[in-house]
Amino acid sequence: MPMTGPTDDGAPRAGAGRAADDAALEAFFAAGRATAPAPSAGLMARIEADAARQERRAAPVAPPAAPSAAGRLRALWASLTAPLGGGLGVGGLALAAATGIWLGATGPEALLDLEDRLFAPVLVIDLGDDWAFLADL
Amino acid sequence: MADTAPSPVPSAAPTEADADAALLARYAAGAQDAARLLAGRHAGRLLAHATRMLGGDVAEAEDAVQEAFLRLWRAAPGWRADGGARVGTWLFKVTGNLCIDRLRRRRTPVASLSDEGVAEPASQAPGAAAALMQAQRADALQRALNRLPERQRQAVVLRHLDGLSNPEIAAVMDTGVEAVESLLARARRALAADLVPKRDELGYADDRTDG
Repeated sequence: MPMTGPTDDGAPRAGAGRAADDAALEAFFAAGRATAPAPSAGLMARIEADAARQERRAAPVAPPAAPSAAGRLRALWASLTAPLGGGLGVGGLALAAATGIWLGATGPEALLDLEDRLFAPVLVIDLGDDWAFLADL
Repeated sequence: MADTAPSPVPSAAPTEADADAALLARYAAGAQDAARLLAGRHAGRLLAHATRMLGGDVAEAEDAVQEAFLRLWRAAPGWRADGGARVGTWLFKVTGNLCIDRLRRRRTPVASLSDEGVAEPASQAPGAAAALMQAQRADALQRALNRLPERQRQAVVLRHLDGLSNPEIAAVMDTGVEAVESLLARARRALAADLVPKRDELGYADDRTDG
């Protein structure tokens, strides 16, 4: 290759020669700038599609609306009762506990008394053989 | 030394950088038109840069530019407008790095432009000869750029074809201004050695007589 540019040791050329080289190079650079490719419509569309896709992916999930006081209480109740079988389970548990307390307070006599009341003899009305009134109806 | 350390890059104009940052913030807030505007402001310069870095391969340069923008979209939500990188500088840096990665993956020297790769102006158009000459000069420049080491090529393309200042180039290349000046000096010497002997065949004799 002809060494018209730098010397072997990399020392800059003499001023006039270097200025001529710079002027020549500038003409090449100008040609390069003038022939730069323009972005195609396809490239711009791909860039915009990426932006839209990335926007959807990065969009934060909308935070749920702040719950009302009643809602917070329901949530608290649900979280507490869940291990016990939910609301029905807690209801049954509460009934059993109340029964236990009642029995403890009143003693077994009360249970017998309750049995008497629940299973009291049915009132029987003996009409005898007088069914004649039915015929008058 | 603090007074010589590379400071925030004095990009083209503060208002341009501010406009970029504002657009990126708008995109992060969900405005799609801001993405379109940002692409319109930068895609042309980045494509020209990537094409020169990749030996004239426009299709591959488009892929690199698309990837650089994708990285910008991903970075948008965490972008710091205050004291952070400027969008334009950041895009040149990412595009340049993507080009160098692609060059290294090729593991062969940058492909030379084929003759059909040169833009052929319409032969009947006025000034067609001048346009053809322009294209031939650009082709010769690209071939000479392809023979430069990557860092020299990047510096000289950023300076003389993309029009960045030396401090901006230093920011793009993660180096100091003095290193940039050294890269540019070596690149210019190599280009002169390559191109100056071709001046006559590329019509510079005509330029001299015309001028």
